[in-house]
Amino acid sequence: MIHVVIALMPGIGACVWFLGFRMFLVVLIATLAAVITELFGTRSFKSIRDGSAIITGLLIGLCLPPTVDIWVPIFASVCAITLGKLIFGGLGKNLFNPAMVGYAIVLIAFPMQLVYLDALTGATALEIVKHRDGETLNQIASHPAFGLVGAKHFEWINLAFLVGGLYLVLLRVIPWLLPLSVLLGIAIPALIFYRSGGAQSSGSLWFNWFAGGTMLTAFFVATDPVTSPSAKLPQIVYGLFIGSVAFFIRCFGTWADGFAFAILLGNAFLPILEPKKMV
Amino acid sequence: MQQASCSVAPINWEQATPDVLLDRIAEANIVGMGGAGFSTAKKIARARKHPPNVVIANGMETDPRVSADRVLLERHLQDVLVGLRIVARILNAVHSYVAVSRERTARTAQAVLKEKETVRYVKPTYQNGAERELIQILTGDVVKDSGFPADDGYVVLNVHTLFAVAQCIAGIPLTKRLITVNNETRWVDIATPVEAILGADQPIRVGCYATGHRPRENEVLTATVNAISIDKSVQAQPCINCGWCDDACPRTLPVQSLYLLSLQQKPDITTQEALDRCNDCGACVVACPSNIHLLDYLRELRQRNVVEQKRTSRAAKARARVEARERRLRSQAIKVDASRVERMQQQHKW
Repeated sequence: MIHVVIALMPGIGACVWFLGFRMFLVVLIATLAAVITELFGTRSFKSIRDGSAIITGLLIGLCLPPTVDIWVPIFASVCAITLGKLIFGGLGKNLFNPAMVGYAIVLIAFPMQLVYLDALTGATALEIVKHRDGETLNQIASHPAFGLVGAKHFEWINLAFLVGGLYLVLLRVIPWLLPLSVLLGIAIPALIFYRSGGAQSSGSLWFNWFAGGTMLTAFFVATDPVTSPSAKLPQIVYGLFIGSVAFFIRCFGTWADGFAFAILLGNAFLPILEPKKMV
Repeated sequence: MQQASCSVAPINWEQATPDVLLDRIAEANIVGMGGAGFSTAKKIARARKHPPNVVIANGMETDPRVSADRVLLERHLQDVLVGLRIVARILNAVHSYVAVSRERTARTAQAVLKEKETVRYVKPTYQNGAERELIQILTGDVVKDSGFPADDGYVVLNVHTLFAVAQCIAGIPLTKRLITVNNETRWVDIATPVEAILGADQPIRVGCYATGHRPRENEVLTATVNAISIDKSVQAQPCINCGWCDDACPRTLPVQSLYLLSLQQKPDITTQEALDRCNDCGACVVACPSNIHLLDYLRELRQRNVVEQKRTSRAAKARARVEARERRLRSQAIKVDASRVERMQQQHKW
């Protein structure tokens, strides 16, 4: 687990660098809240040592925008540990990814808290692509919310998560097939709905890979061993499912990004994908 | 190495007849020191009936973090080779092989080998240390899965066994052996209480961590144990379904599913087919990131299955016995009936 924390460091650094120091505060508070909840829930220090609560807290912090009120990360972490993990019987027995459970609860309960309005650009690039009227991709490319290939700032954050993720893949802490099939799951519909960058386009392949939480989800959330399949074929199906569902929610749904719901849906299908985990 | 105070007369093995040498090995009660503990004299005698013979010195130490055989080969290569030549002389072997897992040792041995002897460096992966796999690697021959390789003329002996053979022919009894105690290899007296070997007040396993067992009450060191290790599984954490044990298993067992079934504390006959393929290598234990000793659980499940199979087979035998008795009684009754009908008919006639 220590390797996952190390691999998250470049991503956390990029987030703090581009989104401001408050981001660091959000991540720190979410992590502390998760660890303390785990401590109270299990009443033993042994359950902290495996590091799963720390990872959950870090992931929740990284999903939230820096502008949230300070009680939001606390609420999300407490929900994640209690409703996402402890009520199932602790680590290893949970059906859903705890971090995504916590994030989804605050996403549904307090949507206004999670609307991220960049002081500079006014809106995120994903929102602009979705809600533009009749302009081609080239026409909106000059908007300040866009960077070189993806969303401004977020492309660098995604790149940092990609670097951390590749570190984990090389160390064989996570299987290489899961992140690859998640990325392919986004790439295939992205190429189909690219429509040569016209008025109906849903953004290019690079834009979809380097915007929102793509890399964070592909390398750090989808690869959670407890809630992901371990055989090769189920991994491919699971990854493609998550990637494409996230793409469709992102481009045609009301939410800014769709990974939280895609992951939770994928988790719900896990007992069908890999029946042994029903035991 | 050993004290000469309690020694018996040495034998000049280059002149002695094979029978004298074999008798001495049988008297000394040398057993396989690689772990199996099979009588070396019996193994040699068995192979002698199936010439031509090939002798293989197994220096492939594939237990993780154990280096007793490697250290033995570095420090006492000559003694091991003498043991190999004694066995080759008894069997009048057509060829002898030495399989080692360090290239340096292979080079050293290469310089001192005689004719009809080959030393080979073999990559120390898990399966390569097993008897049948090693025969296939060295000679290219595939021996049949059932029975002993000795029935096909192959004698595979652990290098420490060969060392013991050389010692016993030289008249020195086996009182110590090299074992790896928590990553450090040293000579330890046989019959030392296992809990006293490591000294520290820590939970231990007899053997390497992956394949060893927890010490039994008053257990002492035997000649077949090659390591004393610290038991990490007392700090086991919950299973997180990562599936690394499934990936690690060289015989492609569904280890995680078997572990989950084992947790239910019930026998499950349907798993027996898979468990029969398990060769206790412990690769799953090494792979587990939660320090769960999966082999313990698999062994427990197998034990419960064996008990269950015995119980059901006893019940089946009893049922067969009862059914046979009922059949016999019924057939007797029919016979009685037939004779009575006959009598009745006769009476009627009368």
